[in-house]
Amino acid sequence: MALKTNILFPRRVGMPEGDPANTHDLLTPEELESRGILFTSLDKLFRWGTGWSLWPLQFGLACCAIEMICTTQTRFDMSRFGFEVFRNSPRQADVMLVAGTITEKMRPSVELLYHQMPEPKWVIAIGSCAISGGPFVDSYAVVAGADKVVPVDVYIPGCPPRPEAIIDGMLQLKAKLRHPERQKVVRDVK
Amino acid sequence: MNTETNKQGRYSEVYQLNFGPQHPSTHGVLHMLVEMDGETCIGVDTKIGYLHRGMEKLLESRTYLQGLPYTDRLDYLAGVNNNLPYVLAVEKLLGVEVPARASLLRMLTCEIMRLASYMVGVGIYIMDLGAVSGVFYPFQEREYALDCMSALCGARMTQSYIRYGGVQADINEEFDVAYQKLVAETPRFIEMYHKLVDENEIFLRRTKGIGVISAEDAMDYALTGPNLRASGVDYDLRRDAPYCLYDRFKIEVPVLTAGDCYARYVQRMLEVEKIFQLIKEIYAALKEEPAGEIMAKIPKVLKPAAGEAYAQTENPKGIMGCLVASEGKLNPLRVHFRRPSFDNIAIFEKIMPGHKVADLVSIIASFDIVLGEIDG
Amino acid sequence: MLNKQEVAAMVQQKFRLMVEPLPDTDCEYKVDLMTLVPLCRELKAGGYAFLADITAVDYLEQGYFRLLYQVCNYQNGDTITLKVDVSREEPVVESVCPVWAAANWLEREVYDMFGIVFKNHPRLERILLWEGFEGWPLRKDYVHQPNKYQGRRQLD
Repeated sequence: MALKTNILFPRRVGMPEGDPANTHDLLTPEELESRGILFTSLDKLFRWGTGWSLWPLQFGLACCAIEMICTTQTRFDMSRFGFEVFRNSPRQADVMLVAGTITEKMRPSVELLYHQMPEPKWVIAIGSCAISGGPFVDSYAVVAGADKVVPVDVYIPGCPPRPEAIIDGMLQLKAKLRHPERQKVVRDVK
Repeated sequence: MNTETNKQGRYSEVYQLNFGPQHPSTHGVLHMLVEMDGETCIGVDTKIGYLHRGMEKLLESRTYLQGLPYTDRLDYLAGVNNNLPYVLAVEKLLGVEVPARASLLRMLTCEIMRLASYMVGVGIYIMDLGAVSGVFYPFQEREYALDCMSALCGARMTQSYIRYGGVQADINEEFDVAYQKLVAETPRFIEMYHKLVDENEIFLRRTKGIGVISAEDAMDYALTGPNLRASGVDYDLRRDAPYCLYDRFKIEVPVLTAGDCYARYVQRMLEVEKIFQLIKEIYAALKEEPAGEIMAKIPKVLKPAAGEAYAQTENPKGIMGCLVASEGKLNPLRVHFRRPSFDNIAIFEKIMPGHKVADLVSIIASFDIVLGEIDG
Repeated sequence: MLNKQEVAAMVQQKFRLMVEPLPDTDCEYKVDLMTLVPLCRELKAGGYAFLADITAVDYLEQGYFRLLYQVCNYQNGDTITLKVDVSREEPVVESVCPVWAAANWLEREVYDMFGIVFKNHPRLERILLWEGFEGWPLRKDYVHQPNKYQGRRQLD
């Protein structure tokens, strides 16, 4: 049994033991939650809120950027999940979607954009080029993956990934935000 | 507005403005170093190569079949159209005769993706001028086109549908359903979009008389595609030097003479109607064509004869050319692509000076550029 | 305005020894290094206003670069291919920028990739690669040394 003392509702003086009106100090946190009362830490609340209002940086590099735009358009509509506020300035964004091939010429700009974003910030690598260099990995001008330049939180495979996959990737980031204790995503595959 | 000029006849000190490589209206990673005098641009240095992946070098180390999917990543808005010149050039070296049905399928997919590419072209243009709602409708229309391709070969954007000697798959019932949806939706879209955009006062002010290109300049700078035809040069490879089976059909090419940003927008919208007509004609021809082979007899291991072959096709952005040099080995000696956007934007340095900085956005967007194609 | 046959006649008449039509091809010519610009001027005057492409092929074993010029006619859609061989030791070609403005970027790209120098080019700089890049990547003898950001990952 969980500890049943309740600092928010101290025991009323003069109430007999076992009185139904005294149930408030017998409720577990789960029972309280079912009555609309939540207990949480500020950190958890913050992460919960962030998960619902990620502001991605509007930053397209190559083919995957077009699928990223498709994801925000009518059919797939990423705004359903609260990710629609694409910011043009890195100063206002907190998620960087690396959508496409990072080339050696573009690398300094990508680094600069990442450093210009305020903390806390996350990076999603969209497509095989951003994951590992993809089909261009042995080229003289291509950086082999976004994680050689910036720390990456979520990888979305595909060349380019379908919009559904991009939405799934964003939801994975949300799950990571809400459950930082999880080391990696484990799925039920039947 | 400050109308006084200083001793040098300038409104302010000349300063440089970095436009890109990360900028919402450069369609990717275009970088322009603009010299400004007050609000007016007096010189432009277009810097490209931020997406240069060295594709031509990579293709030299791949076999012909391995190299084909790379071409999709050039102009990624119209993947099939990029397969075509590479395949045509290799087929020239192989000496393969393509079955008629395969040729029709190639044309059908190319026209569908051309429609999809134009949708992005006009939609992003309106969005860059500040009307965000203008992008939703073309992208919805584009989804119908992509559904067709998805039903046909499984991929939305980078299809690699056209193969050496033919195509990957024949049309199926799923394609027919998606195609009927496309046919039903397109006329409605065209009518609605004309109503939405054409007469818009802000749109007219920002596009009419901006970035005017004369026919002489357009020819001198080797502009191709809708940008050339909006300047009054009547040139379309599908009609003037037909490949595949385009000579079977009557290709109507709209031509405008104004050569400004508005003309380039109207040109695209007019061409969308013609493309839609052509799609219907090709589909009807395909239904009449008896079912048969969609692949010619080609060897499992491709070793084209030694030599150089060059093929040109009309792509959504302009004329795409492909040079394949072979030594009779498993991989090509050299592959080169003439990438239309690359040649089109060379004219920026000539037409941009004299415009305000907001007009630069209008000019860039009116060219409908794709950075994957520019940088190669 | 010249069509393909008239171009062949013009070449016979004016550049008989310098320009050699290649057998079994559709209007392809092997052009001498010195004749390139005069021939291009003639073609432009004859209606070939559209310079579609300039590119090069590195024939390492034979020891030369082959430059290919694709010149098209807006009126009848004819394409003429000019092939110019340049030695690998001294790759210098006259620029055709004065004839067609479109040659500017095309020649810069060839310079960027092959290191072929175009004389009288208004601004011969790297265009796709960055300043400070060493080597000419599309040459056959180019060897790429991956830096810490590049190359395949080594699996343990």
